[in-house]
Amino acid sequence: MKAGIGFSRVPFSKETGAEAAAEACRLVEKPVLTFLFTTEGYDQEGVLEGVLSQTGASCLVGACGAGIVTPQGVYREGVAVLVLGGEGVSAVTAAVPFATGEAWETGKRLGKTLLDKAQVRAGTVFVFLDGLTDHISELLLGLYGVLGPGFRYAGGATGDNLRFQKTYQMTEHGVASSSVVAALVWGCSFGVGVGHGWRSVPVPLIITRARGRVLYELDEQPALEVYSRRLGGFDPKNFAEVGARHPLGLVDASGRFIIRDPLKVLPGGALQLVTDVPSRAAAYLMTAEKDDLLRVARDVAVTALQAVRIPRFALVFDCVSRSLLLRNSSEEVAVVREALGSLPFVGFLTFGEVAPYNDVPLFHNKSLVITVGGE
Amino acid sequence: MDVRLAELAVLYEISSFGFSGSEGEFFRELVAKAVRLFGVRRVAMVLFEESARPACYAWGFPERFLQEQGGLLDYIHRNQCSPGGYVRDLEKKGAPVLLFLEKKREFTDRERRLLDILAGRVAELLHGYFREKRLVYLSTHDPLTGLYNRVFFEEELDRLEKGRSFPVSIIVCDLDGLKVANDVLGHKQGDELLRRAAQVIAGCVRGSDVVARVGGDEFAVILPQADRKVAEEVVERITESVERDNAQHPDLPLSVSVGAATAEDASRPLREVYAEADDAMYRDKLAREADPHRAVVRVLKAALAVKDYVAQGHTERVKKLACMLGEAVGLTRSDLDTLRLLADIHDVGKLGVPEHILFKPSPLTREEWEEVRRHPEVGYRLALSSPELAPVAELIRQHHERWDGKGYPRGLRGEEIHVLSRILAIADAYDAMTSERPYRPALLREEALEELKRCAGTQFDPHLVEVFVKLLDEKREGRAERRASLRPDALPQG
Repeated sequence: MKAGIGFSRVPFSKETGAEAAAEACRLVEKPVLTFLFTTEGYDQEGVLEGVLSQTGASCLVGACGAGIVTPQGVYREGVAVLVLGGEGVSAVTAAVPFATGEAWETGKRLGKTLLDKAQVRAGTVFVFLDGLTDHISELLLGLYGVLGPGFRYAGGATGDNLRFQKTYQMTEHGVASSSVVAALVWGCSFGVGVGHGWRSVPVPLIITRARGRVLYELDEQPALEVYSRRLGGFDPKNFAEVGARHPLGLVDASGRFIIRDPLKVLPGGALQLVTDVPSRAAAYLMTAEKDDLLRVARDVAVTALQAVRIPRFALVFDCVSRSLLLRNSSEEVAVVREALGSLPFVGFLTFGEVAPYNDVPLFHNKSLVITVGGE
Repeated sequence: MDVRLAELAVLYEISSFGFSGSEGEFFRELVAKAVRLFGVRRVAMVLFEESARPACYAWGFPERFLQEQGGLLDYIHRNQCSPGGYVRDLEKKGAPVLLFLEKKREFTDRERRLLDILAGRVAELLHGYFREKRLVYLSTHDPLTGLYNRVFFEEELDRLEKGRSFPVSIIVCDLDGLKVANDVLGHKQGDELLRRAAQVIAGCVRGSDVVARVGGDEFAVILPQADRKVAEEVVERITESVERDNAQHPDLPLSVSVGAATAEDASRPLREVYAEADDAMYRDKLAREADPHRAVVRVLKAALAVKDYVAQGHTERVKKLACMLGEAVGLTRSDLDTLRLLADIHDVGKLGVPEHILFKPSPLTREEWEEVRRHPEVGYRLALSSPELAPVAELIRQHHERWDGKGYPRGLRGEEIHVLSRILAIADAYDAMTSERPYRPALLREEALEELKRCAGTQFDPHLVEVFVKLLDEKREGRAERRASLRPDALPQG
């Protein structure tokens, strides 16, 4: 198996795509699969055209994010390409529009499309979804329902430069928005690690009313009121900062948390989160220090590494809100780099991450997902 | 986090789990909870409802995988005791449901305990769901036939009136002879007729059509987006289907009157269309009542045949003899029709006589005779209860009266007894005498005629006996001449 990585920050869309892809293809003559990560500010179709001009007949799956993760650090603008090739490595891609109100069915459709093209029973599925859509968790359950536990899952939600207006997803066939794209790879091994580092404040909050991403009530009262009271009160104008530092956590029977990130205040004291929360469930306020986040970055990298006999590369899907908290993402990148050793890696800043805690892909917030690929 | 605190959060979420409104949505919520709270990788829920195939909801089972595993139930059965498998039959908790969850690693004891609580909550929710579903079903369906009921039918008319499903056709079907079947054969047989009729009608329509039982013996079908031509085709299919069903059930055939009407657009109220279809059905019914094989008669004959109350061929012979006599004395065609009907069902009252008396080989006691003598009255009351048979009710009552007034039940004499009953009495007696009975052998023809002549003026109308004897003598002579013409020495030589 071979992997090549390229990165470019040339301010011309087609050229930057071509440059990044050319660099990646130096090590892989005939790529089977191309990963493309971009940022807003480029003409996405131009970038894609540039990449495809270098990668030939390769399948492609891509995501636009809030930044590009490279071993040298995180860049707010740029284009990164990772190509895979080698004997026995195969891949197919699929793109499905994300139909409002039909998240589960969208996931099923995506799964069926992949299986129809691939006819395999095992492999790894990389999923990139529009981070501005709702019910992403349901979509992943629909996808898994078709594919089952024979596959591994990893990926992230696409984003923009934090204006939350429009994001992009790509395959070799073109660029889309409000969609979900996926690549199914087989013939090589992948290890997936996920973690967040957040700790819970022991007293629970009861989500008494929620629908999708909107949290209406906590403890039978307007959500903002209760949230603010628990934190000792704050000016709603500072919500973005406060919310970034105090997400909610949903706990499972083993005591492990999945994070839900508050995004903004809505009229009537409701809160919009980055992704859906269950109604009639217990949640906990979460907190973290920088060291907590950095420590988990190492753990995640090690978990992913240990699952692959001969690692060749890594993909990093890092929640943009972690970099906001860390102020300087280079520290986290440094931790990852140290953990991965000389393994080349690339990734993007996401609006949510896809990875399993057990077998089933879950949608995480404020988390770090590292996927190590190899033999 | 301390797992005990986590357990409290999980318990809260389980206890507040509610039913979402449909089985599919409920299952998806169950999957989401099971995945998030317990890290499961497969979930299955099998609902065993009465008189329906099990409904299987499965998640995490790729199609090909299930085929290779021999199906979902087989897989559950094989994995129920595995460390990562959890199975609960919720029947004892009030829900006919099998619940299955699977995790890659084994479930801990604490997780199993929480899963038991989850299973209990699922059972509670589904029990309530099934109960409500049953109530809704009962409120909209006829329990005997399984078709929609009148309430639903009316609501559907209202709904379609506001919709865009025009043209809308309505077909009305009426089951003939149901009352007689219930009275004579019992409600069990009557119900069976209704079920068969329902099945026949429902089998002739599309899935989108609404078939309802709207009255005791009345059915109606609403056909959205069906014009007059389509409606007529369905009527034709129902008629043919009834005939096919009757070929399978010759002893108790269906008779269904059918009518149809159509509203081309919303300008015509659907209740008006329903009334028109009902009128058309009634016209069909009237046309069918002219049929000598009408339903009521068939039902009664079927009942008598089932009970073996009428000797083999007796009814047909009596009918033939009676009509021969009737024609000879100049009865009108209408009277002859009535006479035929009387011949068919004059003994229907015997359905009320206990079998041990009717078939007793030895002479009857006085009390037993009294029972037998009740049968003309019983037959009279039965016939009165049916509009089709009411015209012959009095004739049935009179068929054991005697010319000399010593008959029963009322002791009528002479021409107080209707001529049709007098004719029938002669034909009935002659055939009875010339047939084997449990208590005596058959008489010869001449002996029977002698007996008739002996009883003329007492038991029988003397004039009618004279005509009858002459007819039979003429017939015998006619047969003798024909036999003679067939002898070899009668053939022309040459």
